[in-house]
Amino acid sequence: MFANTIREIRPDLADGDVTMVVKNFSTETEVRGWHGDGVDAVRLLGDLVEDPIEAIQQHAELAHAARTLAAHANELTKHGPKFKRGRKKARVVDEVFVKTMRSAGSEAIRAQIAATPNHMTGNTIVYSPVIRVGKTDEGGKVWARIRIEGKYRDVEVDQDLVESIWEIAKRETTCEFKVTGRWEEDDAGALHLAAPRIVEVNQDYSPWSGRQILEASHELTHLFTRQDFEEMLADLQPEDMG
Amino acid sequence: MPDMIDAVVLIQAIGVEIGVITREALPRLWDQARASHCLVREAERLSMSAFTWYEVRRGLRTPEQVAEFKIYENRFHIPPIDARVAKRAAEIYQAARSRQTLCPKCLCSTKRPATCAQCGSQRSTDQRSGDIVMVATAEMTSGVSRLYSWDGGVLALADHISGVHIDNPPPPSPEQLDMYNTVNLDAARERRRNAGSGNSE
Repeated sequence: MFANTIREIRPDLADGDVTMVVKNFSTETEVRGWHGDGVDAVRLLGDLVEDPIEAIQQHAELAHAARTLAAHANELTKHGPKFKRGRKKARVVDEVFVKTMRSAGSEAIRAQIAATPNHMTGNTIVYSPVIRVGKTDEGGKVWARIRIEGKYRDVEVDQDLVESIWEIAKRETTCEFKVTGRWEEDDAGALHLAAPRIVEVNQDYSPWSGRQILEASHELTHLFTRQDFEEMLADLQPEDMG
Repeated sequence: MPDMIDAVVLIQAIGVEIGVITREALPRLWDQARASHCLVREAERLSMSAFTWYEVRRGLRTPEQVAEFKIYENRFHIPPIDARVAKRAAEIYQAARSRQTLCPKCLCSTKRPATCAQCGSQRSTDQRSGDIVMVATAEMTSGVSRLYSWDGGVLALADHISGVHIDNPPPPSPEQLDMYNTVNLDAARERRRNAGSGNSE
Protein backbone atom coordinates (compact mmCIF):
# COMPACT_ATOMS: atom_id res chain seq x y z
CA MET A 1 0.00 0.00 0.00
CA PHE A 2 2.67 2.51 1.06
CA ALA A 3 5.08 1.58 -1.72
CA ASN A 4 2.46 2.00 -4.43
CA THR A 5 1.06 5.20 -2.98
CA ILE A 6 4.49 6.78 -2.50
CA ARG A 7 5.38 5.77 -6.06
CA GLU A 8 2.33 7.64 -7.33
CA ILE A 9 3.37 10.73 -5.38
CA ARG A 10 7.03 10.74 -6.43
CA PRO A 11 7.72 8.23 -9.23
CA ASP A 12 11.46 9.03 -9.41
CA LEU A 13 12.50 8.21 -5.88
CA ALA A 14 15.78 6.36 -5.44
CA ASP A 15 16.29 3.35 -3.18
CA GLY A 16 16.55 4.51 0.41
CA ASP A 17 14.79 7.84 -0.07
CA VAL A 18 11.83 6.40 1.80
CA THR A 19 11.98 3.49 4.19
CA MET A 20 9.42 1.59 6.18
CA VAL A 21 9.88 0.30 9.73
CA VAL A 22 7.62 -2.48 10.96
CA LYS A 23 7.22 -2.70 14.75
CA ASN A 24 5.91 -6.14 15.56
CA PHE A 25 5.48 -5.50 19.27
CA SER A 26 3.17 -2.51 18.87
CA THR A 27 1.85 -3.69 15.47
CA GLU A 28 2.78 -0.36 13.90
CA THR A 29 4.34 0.52 10.57
CA GLU A 30 6.26 3.76 10.25
CA VAL A 31 7.08 5.44 6.94
CA ARG A 32 10.15 7.69 6.95
CA GLY A 33 11.57 10.03 4.35
CA TRP A 34 15.36 10.45 4.32
CA HIS A 35 16.35 12.74 1.52
CA GLY A 36 14.79 15.74 -0.22
CA ASP A 37 12.32 13.95 -2.45
CA GLY A 38 11.75 11.22 0.12
CA VAL A 39 10.92 13.70 2.86
CA ASP A 40 8.67 15.52 0.44
CA ALA A 41 6.85 12.34 -0.55
CA VAL A 42 6.15 11.31 3.05
CA ARG A 43 4.98 14.82 3.93
CA LEU A 44 2.56 14.79 0.99
CA LEU A 45 1.31 11.34 1.99
CA GLY A 46 0.59 12.77 5.44
CA ASP A 47 -1.20 15.73 3.91
CA LEU A 48 -3.26 13.40 1.74
CA VAL A 49 -4.36 11.24 4.66
CA GLU A 50 -5.12 14.23 6.84
CA ASP A 51 -7.11 16.32 4.38
CA PRO A 52 -7.34 14.72 0.94
CA ILE A 53 -9.42 17.47 -0.72
CA GLU A 54 -7.10 20.25 0.37
CA ALA A 55 -4.00 18.23 -0.46
CA ILE A 56 -5.20 17.38 -3.96
CA GLN A 57 -6.24 20.94 -4.65
CA GLN A 58 -2.70 21.99 -3.78
CA HIS A 59 -0.99 19.10 -5.56
CA ALA A 60 -3.01 17.63 -8.43
CA GLU A 61 -0.59 14.69 -8.75
CA LEU A 62 -1.94 13.36 -5.45
CA ALA A 63 -5.20 12.38 -7.17
CA HIS A 64 -3.71 9.14 -8.47
CA ALA A 65 -2.16 8.47 -5.06
CA ALA A 66 -5.56 8.96 -3.43
CA ARG A 67 -7.14 6.35 -5.67
CA THR A 68 -4.27 3.92 -5.08
CA LEU A 69 -4.54 4.44 -1.34
CA ALA A 70 -8.30 3.92 -1.51
CA ALA A 71 -7.87 0.63 -3.39
CA HIS A 72 -5.45 -0.74 -0.79
CA ALA A 73 -7.32 0.69 2.18
CA ASN A 74 -10.48 -1.03 1.00
CA GLU A 75 -8.79 -4.36 1.76
CA LEU A 76 -7.89 -3.23 5.29
CA THR A 77 -11.16 -1.80 6.55
CA LYS A 78 -12.17 -5.04 8.25
CA HIS A 79 -9.05 -4.77 10.47
CA GLY A 80 -9.69 -1.13 11.45
CA PRO A 81 -6.12 0.18 11.26
CA LYS A 82 -5.37 3.84 12.08
CA PHE A 83 -3.11 6.49 10.61
CA LYS A 84 -1.10 8.70 12.95
CA ARG A 85 0.98 11.67 12.03
CA GLY A 86 3.44 12.39 14.79
CA ARG A 87 1.33 13.03 17.83
CA LYS A 88 -1.72 14.06 15.91
CA LYS A 89 -5.03 12.27 16.24
CA ALA A 90 -5.34 8.98 14.46
CA ARG A 91 -7.50 8.49 11.39
CA VAL A 92 -9.33 5.23 11.10
CA VAL A 93 -9.13 3.35 7.85
CA ASP A 94 -12.78 2.53 7.38
CA GLU A 95 -15.35 2.74 4.61
CA VAL A 96 -15.66 6.49 5.04
CA PHE A 97 -11.92 6.85 4.58
CA VAL A 98 -12.03 4.74 1.42
CA LYS A 99 -14.95 6.68 -0.05
CA THR A 100 -13.33 10.00 0.79
CA MET A 101 -10.12 8.99 -0.94
CA ARG A 102 -11.96 7.70 -3.99
CA SER A 103 -14.09 10.80 -4.45
CA ALA A 104 -11.20 13.16 -3.76
CA GLY A 105 -9.21 11.34 -6.41
CA SER A 106 -11.95 11.47 -9.01
CA GLU A 107 -12.86 15.11 -8.29
CA ALA A 108 -9.26 16.02 -8.76
CA ILE A 109 -9.11 14.17 -12.06
CA ARG A 110 -12.07 16.19 -13.30
CA ALA A 111 -10.51 19.43 -12.09
CA GLN A 112 -7.28 18.46 -13.77
CA ILE A 113 -9.06 17.89 -17.08
CA ALA A 114 -10.86 21.22 -16.76
CA ALA A 115 -7.58 22.97 -16.06
CA THR A 116 -5.87 21.40 -19.06
CA PRO A 117 -5.79 23.75 -22.07
CA ASN A 118 -8.78 22.82 -24.24
CA HIS A 119 -7.41 21.64 -27.54
CA MET A 120 -6.92 18.62 -29.73
CA THR A 121 -4.81 18.02 -32.75
CA GLY A 122 -6.36 17.22 -36.10
CA ASN A 123 -6.49 17.79 -39.83
CA THR A 124 -8.71 19.72 -42.15
CA ILE A 125 -9.00 20.35 -45.86
CA VAL A 126 -8.60 23.93 -47.06
CA TYR A 127 -9.37 25.31 -50.53
CA SER A 128 -7.41 28.45 -51.23
CA PRO A 129 -5.00 30.20 -53.54
CA VAL A 130 -1.51 30.92 -52.23
CA ILE A 131 -1.04 34.67 -52.22
CA ARG A 132 2.43 34.80 -50.67
CA VAL A 133 5.29 32.42 -49.92
CA GLY A 134 8.43 33.16 -47.99
CA LYS A 135 10.55 33.01 -44.88
CA THR A 136 10.40 35.35 -41.94
CA ASP A 137 14.08 34.91 -41.18
CA GLU A 138 17.14 33.57 -42.96
CA GLY A 139 17.28 29.80 -42.80
CA GLY A 140 13.90 29.66 -41.08
CA LYS A 141 10.72 27.85 -41.97
CA VAL A 142 8.79 28.56 -45.16
CA TRP A 143 5.32 30.03 -44.75
CA ALA A 144 2.47 30.27 -47.22
CA ARG A 145 -0.36 32.76 -46.93
CA ILE A 146 -3.62 30.87 -47.52
CA ARG A 147 -7.24 31.35 -46.50
CA ILE A 148 -8.30 29.34 -43.46
CA GLU A 149 -11.70 29.80 -41.83
CA GLY A 150 -12.32 32.77 -44.12
CA LYS A 151 -9.17 34.70 -43.24
CA TYR A 152 -5.75 34.80 -44.84
CA ARG A 153 -3.09 33.46 -42.52
CA ASP A 154 0.56 32.55 -42.77
CA VAL A 155 0.80 28.78 -42.53
CA GLU A 156 3.95 26.73 -42.11
CA VAL A 157 4.82 24.53 -45.07
CA ASP A 158 6.35 21.05 -44.87
CA GLN A 159 9.82 21.19 -46.37
CA ASP A 160 9.09 18.71 -49.17
CA LEU A 161 6.13 20.79 -50.37
CA VAL A 162 7.95 24.09 -50.75
CA GLU A 163 8.53 23.72 -54.51
CA SER A 164 4.87 22.84 -55.12
CA ILE A 165 3.69 25.77 -53.06
CA TRP A 166 5.86 28.15 -55.09
CA GLU A 167 4.33 26.82 -58.29
CA ILE A 168 0.80 27.18 -56.96
CA ALA A 169 1.50 30.75 -55.88
CA LYS A 170 2.72 31.59 -59.39
CA ARG A 171 -0.40 30.10 -60.99
CA GLU A 172 -2.73 32.02 -58.63
CA THR A 173 -5.24 29.18 -58.77
CA THR A 174 -7.22 27.68 -55.94
CA CYS A 175 -5.76 24.43 -54.65
CA GLU A 176 -6.77 21.85 -52.09
CA PHE A 177 -4.51 21.62 -49.04
CA LYS A 178 -4.46 19.20 -46.16
CA VAL A 179 -3.60 21.19 -43.08
CA THR A 180 -2.75 19.83 -39.67
CA GLY A 181 -2.92 21.84 -36.49
CA ARG A 182 -4.35 22.17 -33.03
CA TRP A 183 -8.04 22.84 -32.52
CA GLU A 184 -8.47 25.43 -29.81
CA GLU A 185 -11.71 26.68 -28.32
CA ASP A 186 -12.26 30.42 -28.08
CA ASP A 187 -14.23 32.17 -25.34
CA ALA A 188 -17.48 31.68 -27.28
CA GLY A 189 -16.84 27.94 -27.53
CA ALA A 190 -16.00 27.91 -31.25
CA LEU A 191 -13.05 25.87 -32.51
CA HIS A 192 -10.20 27.44 -34.47
CA LEU A 193 -7.12 25.87 -35.97
CA ALA A 194 -3.97 27.03 -34.21
CA ALA A 195 -0.39 26.46 -35.40
CA PRO A 196 -1.55 25.19 -38.82
CA ARG A 197 0.90 23.41 -41.11
CA ILE A 198 0.40 22.36 -44.73
CA VAL A 199 1.18 18.67 -45.00
CA GLU A 200 -0.34 17.77 -48.38
CA VAL A 201 -1.26 19.51 -51.61
CA ASN A 202 -3.78 18.24 -54.15
CA GLN A 203 -2.84 19.90 -57.41
CA ASP A 204 -5.44 17.91 -59.33
CA TYR A 205 -8.24 19.98 -57.83
CA SER A 206 -9.86 21.84 -60.68
CA PRO A 207 -13.50 22.67 -60.00
CA TRP A 208 -16.06 22.58 -62.78
CA SER A 209 -19.03 24.81 -63.35
CA GLY A 210 -22.49 23.28 -63.08
CA ARG A 211 -22.74 23.25 -66.85
CA GLN A 212 -19.48 21.29 -67.18
CA ILE A 213 -20.68 18.82 -64.57
CA LEU A 214 -23.91 18.21 -66.45
CA GLU A 215 -22.20 17.95 -69.81
CA ALA A 216 -19.79 15.36 -68.40
CA SER A 217 -22.75 13.34 -67.19
CA HIS A 218 -23.54 12.35 -70.79
CA GLU A 219 -20.52 10.05 -70.60
CA LEU A 220 -22.39 8.14 -67.89
CA THR A 221 -25.66 7.74 -69.76
CA HIS A 222 -25.01 4.17 -70.89
CA LEU A 223 -24.24 3.07 -67.30
CA PHE A 224 -27.38 4.30 -65.58
CA THR A 225 -31.00 3.31 -66.02
CA ARG A 226 -34.10 5.12 -64.88
CA GLN A 227 -34.39 2.52 -62.13
CA ASP A 228 -30.91 3.34 -60.84
CA PHE A 229 -31.94 6.96 -60.39
CA GLU A 230 -35.26 6.06 -58.81
CA GLU A 231 -33.45 3.83 -56.31
CA MET A 232 -30.86 6.50 -55.51
CA LEU A 233 -33.57 9.08 -54.89
CA ALA A 234 -35.74 6.65 -52.93
CA ASP A 235 -32.76 5.92 -50.71
CA LEU A 236 -32.43 9.61 -49.92
CA GLN A 237 -36.05 10.78 -49.97
CA PRO A 238 -38.34 7.76 -49.55
CA GLU A 239 -41.40 9.91 -48.86
CA ASP A 240 -41.27 11.53 -52.30
CA MET A 241 -41.03 8.34 -54.32
CA GLY A 242 -44.32 6.69 -53.44
CA MET B 1 -17.82 31.14 -53.44
CA PRO B 2 -20.10 28.29 -54.47
CA ASP B 3 -23.59 27.51 -53.28
CA MET B 4 -23.97 24.22 -51.50
CA ILE B 5 -26.36 21.51 -52.71
CA ASP B 6 -27.53 18.25 -51.24
CA ALA B 7 -27.34 14.84 -52.89
CA VAL B 8 -30.94 14.87 -54.15
CA VAL B 9 -30.42 18.14 -56.03
CA LEU B 10 -27.32 16.78 -57.79
CA ILE B 11 -28.86 13.41 -58.63
CA GLN B 12 -32.04 15.02 -59.94
CA ALA B 13 -30.02 17.44 -62.07
CA ILE B 14 -27.94 14.68 -63.64
CA GLY B 15 -31.04 12.53 -64.10
CA VAL B 16 -32.78 15.30 -66.04
CA GLU B 17 -29.67 16.04 -68.07
CA ILE B 18 -29.22 12.48 -69.29
CA GLY B 19 -32.93 11.99 -69.82
CA VAL B 20 -33.79 9.33 -67.24
CA ILE B 21 -35.88 11.73 -65.17
CA THR B 22 -38.66 13.04 -67.33
CA ARG B 23 -42.09 14.52 -66.78
CA GLU B 24 -43.64 11.28 -68.05
CA ALA B 25 -41.50 8.91 -66.00
CA LEU B 26 -41.64 10.73 -62.67
CA PRO B 27 -44.48 13.27 -62.80
CA ARG B 28 -44.47 13.82 -59.03
CA LEU B 29 -40.81 14.72 -59.04
CA TRP B 30 -40.68 16.62 -62.28
CA ASP B 31 -41.05 20.16 -61.00
CA GLN B 32 -38.41 19.54 -58.34
CA ALA B 33 -36.03 17.84 -60.73
CA ARG B 34 -36.42 20.59 -63.31
CA ALA B 35 -35.60 23.24 -60.71
CA SER B 36 -32.58 21.23 -59.52
CA HIS B 37 -31.36 20.93 -63.09
CA CYS B 38 -31.64 24.67 -63.71
CA LEU B 39 -29.89 25.47 -60.45
CA VAL B 40 -26.95 23.17 -61.18
CA ARG B 41 -26.71 24.24 -64.80
CA GLU B 42 -26.45 27.91 -63.88
CA ALA B 43 -23.94 27.45 -61.04
CA GLU B 44 -20.43 28.74 -61.53
CA ARG B 45 -19.12 26.40 -58.83
CA LEU B 46 -20.81 23.78 -56.72
CA SER B 47 -20.06 22.79 -53.20
CA MET B 48 -21.27 19.82 -51.20
CA SER B 49 -20.44 18.49 -47.80
CA ALA B 50 -18.28 15.39 -47.51
CA PHE B 51 -21.37 13.59 -46.19
CA THR B 52 -23.34 14.56 -49.30
CA TRP B 53 -20.52 13.24 -51.46
CA TYR B 54 -20.81 9.96 -49.55
CA GLU B 55 -24.58 9.90 -50.19
CA VAL B 56 -24.01 10.38 -53.90
CA ARG B 57 -21.24 7.79 -54.10
CA ARG B 58 -23.10 5.15 -52.14
CA GLY B 59 -25.81 5.10 -54.80
CA LEU B 60 -23.36 3.71 -57.37
CA ARG B 61 -24.14 0.02 -57.70
CA THR B 62 -21.83 -1.50 -60.31
CA PRO B 63 -18.02 -1.42 -60.63
CA GLU B 64 -18.47 0.29 -63.99
CA GLN B 65 -20.54 3.08 -62.44
CA VAL B 66 -17.91 3.55 -59.72
CA ALA B 67 -15.08 3.62 -62.25
CA GLU B 68 -16.75 6.07 -64.61
CA PHE B 69 -17.93 8.36 -61.84
CA LYS B 70 -14.27 9.23 -61.23
CA ILE B 71 -14.64 11.92 -63.86
CA TYR B 72 -16.11 14.00 -61.02
CA GLU B 73 -13.21 13.63 -58.62
CA ASN B 74 -11.61 16.99 -57.85
CA ARG B 75 -14.43 18.79 -59.68
CA PHE B 76 -16.51 19.76 -56.65
CA HIS B 77 -15.67 21.91 -53.68
CA ILE B 78 -16.04 19.44 -50.81
CA PRO B 79 -15.36 20.97 -47.38
CA PRO B 80 -14.36 18.31 -44.86
CA ILE B 81 -16.09 17.08 -41.74
CA ASP B 82 -13.38 18.19 -39.35
CA ALA B 83 -13.40 18.83 -35.61
CA ARG B 84 -14.95 22.25 -36.12
CA VAL B 85 -17.85 20.88 -38.16
CA ALA B 86 -18.34 17.93 -35.82
CA LYS B 87 -18.57 20.21 -32.81
CA ARG B 88 -21.02 22.52 -34.52
CA ALA B 89 -23.10 19.58 -35.75
CA ALA B 90 -23.41 18.28 -32.20
CA GLU B 91 -24.60 21.69 -31.04
CA ILE B 92 -27.20 21.86 -33.82
CA TYR B 93 -28.32 18.30 -33.04
CA GLN B 94 -28.90 19.18 -29.40
CA ALA B 95 -30.66 22.42 -30.28
CA ALA B 96 -32.83 20.70 -32.89
CA ARG B 97 -33.99 18.02 -30.48
CA SER B 98 -35.28 20.63 -28.10
CA ARG B 99 -37.31 22.54 -30.68
CA GLN B 100 -40.90 21.99 -31.73
CA THR B 101 -40.13 22.09 -35.44
CA LEU B 102 -38.41 18.70 -35.33
CA CYS B 103 -39.51 15.46 -33.76
CA PRO B 104 -37.09 14.83 -30.86
CA LYS B 105 -37.00 11.12 -31.66
CA CYS B 106 -36.34 10.90 -35.39
CA LEU B 107 -35.53 14.58 -36.07
CA CYS B 108 -38.01 14.66 -38.94
CA SER B 109 -39.80 17.90 -39.59
CA THR B 110 -43.08 18.07 -37.70
CA LYS B 111 -44.37 20.45 -40.34
CA ARG B 112 -43.75 17.98 -43.15
CA PRO B 113 -43.44 14.49 -41.70
CA ALA B 114 -41.22 12.18 -43.70
CA THR B 115 -42.56 8.66 -43.68
CA CYS B 116 -41.28 5.92 -45.94
CA ALA B 117 -44.02 4.94 -48.38
CA GLN B 118 -42.64 1.41 -48.57
CA CYS B 119 -42.02 0.38 -44.97
CA GLY B 120 -44.05 3.03 -43.22
CA SER B 121 -41.27 3.89 -40.79
CA GLN B 122 -39.96 7.34 -40.27
CA ARG B 123 -36.47 8.27 -41.31
CA SER B 124 -33.84 7.30 -38.83
CA THR B 125 -31.93 9.59 -36.54
CA ASP B 126 -28.78 8.50 -38.37
CA GLN B 127 -30.13 9.89 -41.63
CA ARG B 128 -31.02 13.12 -39.89
CA SER B 129 -27.55 13.22 -38.38
CA GLY B 130 -26.20 13.31 -41.93
CA ASP B 131 -28.45 16.28 -42.67
CA ILE B 132 -27.19 18.03 -39.56
CA VAL B 133 -23.57 17.42 -40.54
CA MET B 134 -24.35 18.90 -43.97
CA VAL B 135 -25.95 21.99 -42.43
CA ALA B 136 -23.06 22.40 -40.00
CA THR B 137 -20.59 22.11 -42.87
CA ALA B 138 -22.41 24.86 -44.75
CA GLU B 139 -22.34 27.12 -41.73
CA MET B 140 -18.66 26.49 -40.99
CA THR B 141 -17.50 26.95 -44.60
CA SER B 142 -16.61 30.55 -45.22
CA GLY B 143 -18.22 31.99 -48.31
CA VAL B 144 -21.11 29.52 -48.48
CA SER B 145 -24.23 31.58 -47.96
CA ARG B 146 -26.89 29.28 -49.39
CA LEU B 147 -27.71 25.59 -49.10
CA TYR B 148 -30.24 24.08 -51.49
CA SER B 149 -32.30 21.08 -50.49
CA TRP B 150 -35.80 19.65 -50.97
CA ASP B 151 -35.82 18.01 -47.59
CA GLY B 152 -38.27 19.45 -45.05
CA GLY B 153 -36.09 18.26 -42.19
CA VAL B 154 -33.08 20.10 -43.61
CA LEU B 155 -35.13 23.26 -44.15
CA ALA B 156 -36.31 23.09 -40.52
CA LEU B 157 -32.68 23.17 -39.38
CA ALA B 158 -32.41 26.73 -40.69
CA ASP B 159 -33.69 27.91 -37.30
CA HIS B 160 -30.49 26.72 -35.65
CA ILE B 161 -27.81 28.22 -37.85
CA SER B 162 -26.73 31.68 -38.91
CA GLY B 163 -25.16 33.13 -42.02
CA VAL B 164 -26.55 30.47 -44.35
CA HIS B 165 -29.98 30.42 -45.98
CA ILE B 166 -31.48 27.00 -46.57
CA ASP B 167 -33.90 26.99 -49.48
CA ASN B 168 -35.52 24.82 -52.10
CA PRO B 169 -33.90 25.31 -55.51
CA PRO B 170 -35.84 28.18 -57.08
CA PRO B 171 -38.30 27.38 -59.85
CA PRO B 172 -36.86 27.99 -63.32
CA SER B 173 -37.45 31.44 -64.70
CA PRO B 174 -39.34 31.79 -68.00
CA GLU B 175 -36.01 32.49 -69.69
CA GLN B 176 -34.72 29.11 -68.53
CA LEU B 177 -37.62 27.22 -70.07
CA ASP B 178 -38.15 26.67 -73.73
CA MET B 179 -41.47 26.71 -75.48
CA TYR B 180 -42.16 23.09 -74.50
CA ASN B 181 -41.73 24.02 -70.86
CA THR B 182 -38.63 21.88 -70.51
CA VAL B 183 -35.22 22.93 -69.30
CA ASN B 184 -33.38 22.85 -72.57
CA LEU B 185 -31.39 26.01 -72.07
CA ASP B 186 -29.35 25.62 -75.22
CA ALA B 187 -32.46 25.30 -77.36
CA ALA B 188 -34.08 28.24 -75.60
CA ARG B 189 -31.02 30.45 -76.09
CA GLU B 190 -30.69 29.39 -79.70
CA ARG B 191 -34.34 30.27 -80.30
CA ARG B 192 -33.92 33.68 -78.68
CA ARG B 193 -30.86 34.37 -80.81
CA ASN B 194 -32.70 33.34 -83.94
CA ALA B 195 -35.75 35.38 -82.98
CA GLY B 196 -33.57 38.44 -82.42
CA SER B 197 -31.91 38.14 -85.82
CA GLY B 198 -35.11 37.46 -87.69
CA ASN B 199 -34.19 33.85 -88.48
CA SER B 200 -36.91 32.29 -86.43
CA GLU B 201 -38.52 29.26 -88.03
